[in-house]
Amino acid sequence: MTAGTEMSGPRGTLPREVPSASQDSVPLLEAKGLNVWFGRHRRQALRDVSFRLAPGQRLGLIGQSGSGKSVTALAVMGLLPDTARTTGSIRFEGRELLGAPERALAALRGRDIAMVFQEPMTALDPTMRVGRQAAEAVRLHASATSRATRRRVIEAFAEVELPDPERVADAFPHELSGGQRQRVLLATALLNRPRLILCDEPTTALDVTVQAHVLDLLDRSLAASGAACLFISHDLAVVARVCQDIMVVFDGAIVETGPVARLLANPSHPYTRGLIAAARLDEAAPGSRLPTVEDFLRGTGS
Amino acid sequence: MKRLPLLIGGAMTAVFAFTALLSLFWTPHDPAFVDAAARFTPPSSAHWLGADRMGRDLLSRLMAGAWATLLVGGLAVLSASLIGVPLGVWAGMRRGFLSDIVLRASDILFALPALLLAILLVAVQGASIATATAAIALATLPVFVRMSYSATLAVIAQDYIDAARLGGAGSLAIAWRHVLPNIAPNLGVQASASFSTAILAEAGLSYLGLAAPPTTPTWGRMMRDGQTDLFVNPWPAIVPGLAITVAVLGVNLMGDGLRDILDPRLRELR
Repeated sequence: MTAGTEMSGPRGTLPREVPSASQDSVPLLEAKGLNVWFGRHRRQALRDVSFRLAPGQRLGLIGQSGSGKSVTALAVMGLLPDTARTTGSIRFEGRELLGAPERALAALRGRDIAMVFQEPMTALDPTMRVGRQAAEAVRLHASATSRATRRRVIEAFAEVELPDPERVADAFPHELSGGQRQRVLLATALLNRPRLILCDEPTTALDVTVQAHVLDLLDRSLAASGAACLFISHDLAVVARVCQDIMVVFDGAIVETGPVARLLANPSHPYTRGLIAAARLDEAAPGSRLPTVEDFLRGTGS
Repeated sequence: MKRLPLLIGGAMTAVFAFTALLSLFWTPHDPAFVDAAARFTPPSSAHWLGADRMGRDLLSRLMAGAWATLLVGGLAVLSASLIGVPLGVWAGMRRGFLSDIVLRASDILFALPALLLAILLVAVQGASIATATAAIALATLPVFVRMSYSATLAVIAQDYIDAARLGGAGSLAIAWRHVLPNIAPNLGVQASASFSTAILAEAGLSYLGLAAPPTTPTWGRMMRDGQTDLFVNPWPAIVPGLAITVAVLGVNLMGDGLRDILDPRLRELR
């Protein structure tokens, strides 16, 4: 089956039997009352953010740039800079991550939680062959001989449909295209079979056709591995493709959350309404000014 | 054409280094041998570059001087980078009170002129090759600290550092595998720039008699010896002067050429 045929469905044609976050199941990831401040002036980046993510669930985190999407992901990863002050709780399978010793976090990261970065160029070390870089993620978490590691890396590269994975593994990042780099990152993130993958706008830097292909790959890889996903984006269409649930972040706080279908059909927050209106170009009258998110925030939108 | 400066500079530096090494095994004459009959001879078949006021062969002294220059300059830059780069990388990755102290200390060292440092060290330790090397190394140290610090800051902000940390890599592994390879081009360019400065500094110090003892031939001392008879017999002063010029020019050209090729901003374009 080629990628093209799978992309035909409105939201992919993959089984989505994974339940939404029900209150009784043990959450894979649970954030409670998360607050983050930055710098000397204590600028608040996150206000009382709470959410839960069931095993295998895919949650889209959507919001403007600067709204706190990436801060949420970095807080989960424990990668916030030293200038940040954090309160609240982040639990992964019941274990508290905030304030956990660095060694415990290091064991968790990469193995149980992986991350796909936004910029495939800066997420790959320009001085290192990509195969070696991917192998680093394996070697730090599993004692594997380097030949076995290399085989695993090449298999993973083949799984994300990189042409000629052997050659790609020996290439430097600048020798690959943007889509190839992002697929390398995706393959690297999947290498240790993590249970949670954080995607920080993984397709923003790609052009639209490559974006569709990478999303499709992500969709299938998640389905195959059963990993949960926290998907950060400002693009509703992208989130709707991959996720079952959406959480809307505005100015550091979660303003709306729910299943994709309900949220798209019946948005309550002005920001969400604005986003949807801005995406529905087919509904705009020809010749009239296109709606912007700001119109809705000011309350002037229809 | 872009590689022309690198080729010319590299060739000049190679000749310089080869001459210096050759002097350890062979020189046309003994550099210290005094041949009174050859006083002030212009370049001839017996003395290719002539002889100085004491009848010592200039070419032989020039070759021996090249070794002293290479030794002092090379050791100074090597030790400055071996100490300065780890400090700078550490400060860039650590970013705290302790690293601030290191950076301010290096700023203070920056403010002291190399010559003053050298006079200070000579006053305490006496003039020797080791003292001159230490003085030049100390003056070069803050350059490496500051350069590797700022280069590290740029590298450490990249996502692949976060990715490596996510993979569970420790700070030492990140410094070794990701930071150093990425700042290596800057280091190479800085090393060649510092090396040419060190050659000049060594010449200056030995001209002032603050470096090697009088028995060791150095370019700076040769210029000082030749200076007295500059208007009557210019050869003994011109020859080491030209040698210094050629060595510094060669190393500088090489550094420029390296930068053109290694500059990360240009690397993407090719």
